[in-house]
Order: sequence, then structure tokens, then C-alpha cells
Amino acid sequence: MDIHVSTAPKHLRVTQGMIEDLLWDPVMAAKVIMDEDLDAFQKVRLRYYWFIPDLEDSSGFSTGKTKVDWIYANLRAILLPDQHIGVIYQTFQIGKDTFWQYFNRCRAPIYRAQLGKMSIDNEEAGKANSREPSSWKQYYRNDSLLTMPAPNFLQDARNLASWRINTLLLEEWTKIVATSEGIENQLLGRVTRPCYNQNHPVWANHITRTATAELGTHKGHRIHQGYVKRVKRGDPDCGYITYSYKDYSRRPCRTGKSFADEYRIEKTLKTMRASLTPEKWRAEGLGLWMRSASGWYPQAWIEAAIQLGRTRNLIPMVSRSSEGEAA
Amino acid sequence: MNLGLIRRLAYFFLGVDSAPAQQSRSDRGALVIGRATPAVAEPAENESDWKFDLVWARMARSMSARQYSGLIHAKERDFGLAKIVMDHGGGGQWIERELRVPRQIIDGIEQDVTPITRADDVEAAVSKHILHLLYRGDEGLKKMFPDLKNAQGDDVLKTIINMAFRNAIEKAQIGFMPPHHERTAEQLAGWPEEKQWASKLLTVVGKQCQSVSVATKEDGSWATTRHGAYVFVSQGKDDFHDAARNAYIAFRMWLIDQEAGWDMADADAGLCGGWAKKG
Repeated sequence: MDIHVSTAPKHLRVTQGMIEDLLWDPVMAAKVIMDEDLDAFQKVRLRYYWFIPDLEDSSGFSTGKTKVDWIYANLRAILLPDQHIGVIYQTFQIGKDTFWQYFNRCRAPIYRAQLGKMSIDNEEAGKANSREPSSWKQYYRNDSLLTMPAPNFLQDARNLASWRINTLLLEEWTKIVATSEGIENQLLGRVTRPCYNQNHPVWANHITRTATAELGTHKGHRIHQGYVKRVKRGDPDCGYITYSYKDYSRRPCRTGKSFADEYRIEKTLKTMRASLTPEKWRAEGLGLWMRSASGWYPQAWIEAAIQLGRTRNLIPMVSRSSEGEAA
Repeated sequence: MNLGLIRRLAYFFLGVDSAPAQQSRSDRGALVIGRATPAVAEPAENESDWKFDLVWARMARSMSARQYSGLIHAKERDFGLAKIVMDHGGGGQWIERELRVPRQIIDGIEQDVTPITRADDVEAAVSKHILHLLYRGDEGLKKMFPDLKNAQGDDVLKTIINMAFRNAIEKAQIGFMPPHHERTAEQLAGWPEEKQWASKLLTVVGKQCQSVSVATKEDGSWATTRHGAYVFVSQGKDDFHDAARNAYIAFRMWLIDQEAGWDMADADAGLCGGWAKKG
């Protein structure tokens, strides 16, 4: 008789009961498993990620997109067994430098206990992660796998043609579509790995795109408009969300300072606001997609109209008998 | 110009961007009055013979159609409006119905007024026929913009009236109120609250004009709808812009009415150099 014993200590296991509870509350899961405290808007964002199979997040910079992405991807890997997740960045190096660093930062014991490459008889089988030239992988004890491949977008990501995954996380997707059609031509077709229930908002395969919003002339605007149309039609599988640095609250974070004081770096934001055009600022700073437009009334015309009013000494009137021009 | 003469020859036009509150929803509308005064000794139907200035504005927040109506009647009484142009959509049709009621609440007091009806309303015998609603079927608009006969959608109407307002601003035919912050404390002393608010809100007109844009295609040219109309987008509110534009459209419609022939009192006709008696 084979007796399989989990190699994880009992107090660090994610039990079936925990999974059943945490599957419906990713925020609680992030706290219990990863000991991660999120600000209020980030908790809402994580829930959107969790329950909407096809989501676009256009939030502005400095809103913690990458961190929530990482939590979301890892929770799916831990709570959904045999989940294969793909994380795509516009360049491999940026993925290594930004996304992957969170694997080293999270020291929560329950989380660390979930990582590992297991053999068929449930024994440790080598390192929990692998760093190959073409992809970095993180293995989980429940047979889930998180892969960050090095996509060759110059060839429209054809090197990923045989890949099959359950969850696709497209980081900085607008930067990718600006130079390549790899997402639409290859990557979306990879999210076809069988799942437990493809009609369920959590179990279904997920596609999540994150990037700051862009101007209306950007190639990604057409894709964003597609999300807007689907949401307007009431498609329950689709959504788009956006947040900005203004959403940080005054709630205390783990350092004792408020989330706003800790993460809202006012001086940098001020510099960026000054250096970007108003349209670019609205897109990248505030996360608002801007339809490309040009002013209907040139500034000089409005100023001339006001100057005309000055010349005429205009003052407001409250009735026909009141004075309408300054004496 | 002599102030007395201005008062005598000034005509006032009200533009309304209507948004009466429905149920618990709080909507915001805007009212702007423009004043036309002669720019030449013998003004005719040519718009360059007139000076058009924006002189009064008011924000209407969470007001019912009846309250809008009372306010419009109050301003009609204060200014003796020559024409009113109001949006048809956004609740304008409900306000129109209220304007026909001969009992109105003005300044909190219910009182008798002369109803205000559409300019082409032949059924209302005793009323001021000064109202136009912004929709393609309005007779005044059709007379002013003959192209509307062939227009397929209301988006074309918006393009045409915005174009007219734009042309007038380009030709420096409309005087905008100088910004409120330029007023000195001495100047503001003694101004009633309504006048101070008018000054502030008329400043908003200029600001809102700057935020009105037209969607462009990838090549930078203006995008159009399938009816050939421009796609207007505004980064924020545009209610005061719309109300000011409506006031200007009211002025232009009034000018066209003069062209068709309008009999004014002999004394006034004399001041207009006889032009008003031409019809």
C-alpha cells in the first residue's frame, strides 16, 4: 500500500476547507496565504480580476497594478489545482525586473509552503522554479505552473504557438500591440487549456490585460473600444476598470503611514504632470482613455472673445434695466 | 454709447441647456442670456450690424420642469426676451409644457403670467410666441438652416449649430464676459448675489468652450458619423457652452425673422433707421 504524506507541515497547508472559503474571497486569500495588505481600491481591483474572465485594467501609473497582478496570478495558481498561467511582458527583461521580484519579496510561510515541483508520487522533484533562457517558471505543489516566456513579438509570438494555458496575464499590453500583432494573432488562442468549468467566473479561463490608458490614436484604442462595447451590451464575462493614484486612501498600511503617504509620491507626480501634455496626463496619470480629438474653438479665438468683452466693458445684468456696461 | 439708447435698443435672448431633475436623480442645467445691441447707426438683418454679448447666466441644479418654467418666466419678465432656444431632449419638452401654464411660481409666489409657447404654435392665442426647441422639425431652425431638410439625424443639427457658434466666435462677433477674478473688490461691492454668480458662471462659458473637441481619425482629420456630422466630445461639463450657443442661435433666428418682416413701434423703427419697417 502506498501512503502519500504531504511534505508541507500541517499548519502551512492550504486545506480543502480553506480553498472552498478563499475561492470566493481573493482579498481574504491574499491576507491568509500571502499576508498581503492592500488598500481599499486594490482589494476591489483584485475582486474584479478574480471574478471577470476577460478584463482590461487601464489604471494610471503608481497604482500597484503589478503587485495585484502578481497576487492574482499566484492565488489562481494556489487555489485552482493544475492551473497553467502565462505572464507576458513586452520584453522578457522587464518581466524579470518587475513581476518576478515579488516572488522573492513574499516571505509568508503558508505561501512559501505552496511552492515546489512535485513528482508523480508527491515527492519533492527538484527546484521550485526554473530560469531558462526562453522562459522563467514557478512550480506549485498542486501541479499549477506559472510561466513567464520570452515572446518574440517581432515574429508575432509564433514561438508560443503550441502553448496551452488557463490564465493569460498581459502586462503593459498597449506597449505590445503598438509594435506587434502577436497578442491577437497568437496569444489569445493559447488560453484554451481545459478547465473545471468554462462557464464559471472563477474556474473559467481568464485573460487579464493591464496597462495605463493611451490616446485615441493608439492601436490599442480599438481593442479598448471593443471592451467598452461588450460591457455596454451587458456581457457578463467582460469588464474594464481604471484607477489612479488619487484612489490611495488615508488608511494606515503596514509601515504605520497611510497608503497615500506611502505610495502616492507627490513630487514625482507633480513633475510628470508638468512634463506630459494634458491628454497624455489624463491617459497615463489618471488612467482615462482619450478619444483622439482636436479643439473645436482654438484658444486664441476664446481669448479674443473675452478681450472683446473687456473692450466693451461688459458687466453682468440681472434685468433689462440694469447696467450692462461699466460706466 | 448712450446708456439710455442701449436700454431702448437692446434685445435679449435666452439659451437653455435643460436637465430637469427626474425622481431622485440630480441633474444640472444652465441658462444664459445674450444681449444684442446695434453696432451701426442703421442696423439691418446682417449680424455684423449688431453686437452680441453674453450678460447673464444661472445654474439650474435639481430643478423640476415646473421650477425651470418659473425661472424662465421670471427672466422673461426681467429682460423682455425676444426669443428663447432650448434643447428638445434632456427634458426640454417637459419644460415646454410647463411654460404654457398661465399660473407660474416666480420667486416663491404663484402669479398670473402670459404663457410662453413655440413661435409656430398657432393654437395659443394669448401667449408669447418666442420659444424654439432644438430639433430638426422646428420651423425657425428650418428657416435658418435650409440644409436641415435633408439631414438624417439630430447629430447633423448639433454640427450645424455648433458651426454657427464657432463661426461667430471666429469672426469676433460675440463678446464673452471678462473673467470674474479680474473684478476688483470695489467693483463687486454692492452687486447683488445674482449678478456676482452671473459673472462667475459666464466665466465658465469660456472655460467650457476650450474643452469642447471634435473626435479625429487616425490621420488627424475630423471624424464624422454616418450622417456626415462631427462627433463632439467634451472633457467635462459643457452645459454653459450649450446654453450660450443656444442664446446665440436664438439671436440669429430673431435676425431672420426681421428679414421676413416685423412691424415695430414707430418710435423704435425710427431709432433703427427705418429698417424695421421695410417688411
